[in-house]
Amino acid sequence: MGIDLATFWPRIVDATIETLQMVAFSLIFSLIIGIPLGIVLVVTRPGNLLGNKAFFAVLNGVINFLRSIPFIILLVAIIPFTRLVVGTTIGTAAAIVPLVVYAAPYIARLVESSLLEVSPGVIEAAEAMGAKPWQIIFRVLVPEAFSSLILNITIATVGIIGASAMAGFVGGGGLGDLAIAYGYQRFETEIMIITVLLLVVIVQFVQSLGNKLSKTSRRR
Amino acid sequence: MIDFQDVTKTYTTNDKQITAVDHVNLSIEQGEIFGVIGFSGAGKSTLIRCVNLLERPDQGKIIVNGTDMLKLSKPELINVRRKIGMIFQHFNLLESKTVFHNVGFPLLLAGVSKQKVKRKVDQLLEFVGLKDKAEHYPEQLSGGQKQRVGIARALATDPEILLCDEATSALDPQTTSSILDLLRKVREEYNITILMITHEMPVIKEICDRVAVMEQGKVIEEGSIFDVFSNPQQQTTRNFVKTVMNDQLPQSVIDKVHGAHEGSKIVRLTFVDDSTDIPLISDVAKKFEVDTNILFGQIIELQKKPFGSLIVELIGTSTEIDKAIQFIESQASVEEVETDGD
Repeated sequence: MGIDLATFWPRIVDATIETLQMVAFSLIFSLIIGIPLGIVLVVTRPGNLLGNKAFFAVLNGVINFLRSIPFIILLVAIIPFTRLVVGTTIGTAAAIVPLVVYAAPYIARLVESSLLEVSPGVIEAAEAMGAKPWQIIFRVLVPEAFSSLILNITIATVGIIGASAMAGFVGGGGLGDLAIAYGYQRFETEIMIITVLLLVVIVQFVQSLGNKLSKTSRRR
Repeated sequence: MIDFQDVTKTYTTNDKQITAVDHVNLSIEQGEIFGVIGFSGAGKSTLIRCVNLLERPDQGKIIVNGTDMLKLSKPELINVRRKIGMIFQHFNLLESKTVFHNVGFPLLLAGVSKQKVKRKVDQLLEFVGLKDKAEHYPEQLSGGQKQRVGIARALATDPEILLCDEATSALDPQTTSSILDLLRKVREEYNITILMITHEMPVIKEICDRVAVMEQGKVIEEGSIFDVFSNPQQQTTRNFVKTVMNDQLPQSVIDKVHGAHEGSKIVRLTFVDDSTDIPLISDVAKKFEVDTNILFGQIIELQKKPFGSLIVELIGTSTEIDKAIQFIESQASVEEVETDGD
C-alpha cells in the first residue's frame, strides 16, 4: 500500500488532460448534433413555424428514448456502434462516442427549452415583417435565446463532465477513472480527494465561465 | 385599400368549433384611419391578422391594394407583407437588439445595404422622437417609448398600410394619447392607411374616421365616427358609446324631478354641429310659458364636429310644453326621457 504522490503526479496530470479532451470533444460533437435537433424540435412542433405533427412525434419519441437510458448502460450497449464509428471500443476516443450519444439528445432538449422561451409575439412580428423561416430561426429565435442557450449549454457541459467519470469502463481514462481505480478500489483516499477536488475545480470554472458569457451576451 | 369579402375563420379546439370571424365584409379606404372595436373574444384580433395572413381565412377574400392575398405564393406574400406594417399591444421588440437594430430589422431581413439602413433608421428615430435612445435596449425603455420603436420599425419598409393590434391597450391614458398623436402624424406624413383594433372607445373617438363594431365574429354596425357615436343602432354599440359619453340620468334623479313638479316633462336634446351655438334654452324661456330646468349637459368633439347633449326638464302647461318642444325640434333633435334605465 501507499502510493508516492511525487511519482504519481504525472498520472493525475494525464488524467486531467484526458478528462478535458473527452469533455471538449464530446461537447463539440454534441453541440453539432444537439443544436440543430433542438431547433428542429421547436420549429416542427405542431402549430409552430414549420409544424409537422408526425415528424415532431417521431423525433420527440427518439429523443425521449435516448434520454431515458442510463449512461452506464448506454456505454456498453452501443459498443458495436462505437466500433463502427471510431474503429475501437477502448480508449478516450471510444468514450467520446457514447458521451455524444448521451449528451446530444440532452442538449437538443435544453436548446428546445431555451428557444421556446422566446415570446411568440416576437416571432409573429418577424413573420409580419416578411421574415423567411430561416431568418426567423437565425435572426430571431437563436439571438433572442442566446443568453439562455449559453446557460443551458453550461448545464450540459457539467453533465458531460459527470458522465465522463464513467468512461473508465471502456478504458477511456480521465479523472473519474483514476478516482475509481485508485481511490475507490485501492482505498487510496488521497488520490480520491485530489481527483474529486480537480473535478470540482473544473466544474466551478465551467459554470462561472458560462454564467459570465451568458451575462455579457445579454447585451451585445 | 383593404377589402374583406365574406371572410370567415373557424378554429377547432377540443372538438368544439369556434367561428372567430363570421362572414365579415368591410372596405377600408386609402388614407383613412379605420377602427374595429369589440370586447375580447369578438374576433377583431383574428380579423386584423387576416390582412397580412398571419391567420389564413377558410372562406372569403382579402384584397389589399388590388392584390388577392390568398392567391399569393410564399415569396410573393413576403414581399407584400413588407408593405404592411404592424404594431402590437406588447410591442414585440427584439430584446437582444438595440433600438437602432430593432428599427433596422425589417430592412436587414429585406437585404438592404447598411448605409441605407443607417439613413432610414436615423430618419425614423427622429420622426418618433427617440434619436437619443438609438443605442438603448428595449428593457431600458418605457411602454410609450417601446411603442414608438414599434411604430418606427413598422414604417421602416415604407408600408402603405399600418395594422395596429391593440397598440395602446398596455399604455396609460396620457401615453395613449401621445401615441395616437404620433399615429395621426404617421397618416399625415406618410399618407398611410391605418387599420386598428381596440376595445377602448376613447381611442376610436380620438383618432378614427370610421368604425366597425364586432361581436361574436360578426360586424354588427359600421359607419363614420360621427354617425355611430351620435346615433348608435345596436345595444353593444350603445354600451361602447356610453364609455365615452354617458348622458344617462340615474332613475332616482328622474323620480325626484317628476315628484317635484306636476306635469313636467324631461327631454333629451341632441345638438349637432351648427346647432350647438344657438342659445336655444333661453329662446324657449322667452317665447313660451315654460320654465326650463337643466339637469345634465355635455359637449364633445367628434371628427372636429361638436356634438352636444342636454337633458332639461320643461315645466308648464302641457300645451305650452308641446309648443316649446315643436320649436326646439326645428333646431335640435328631441327625445323624451321617461324611464332612462336601458
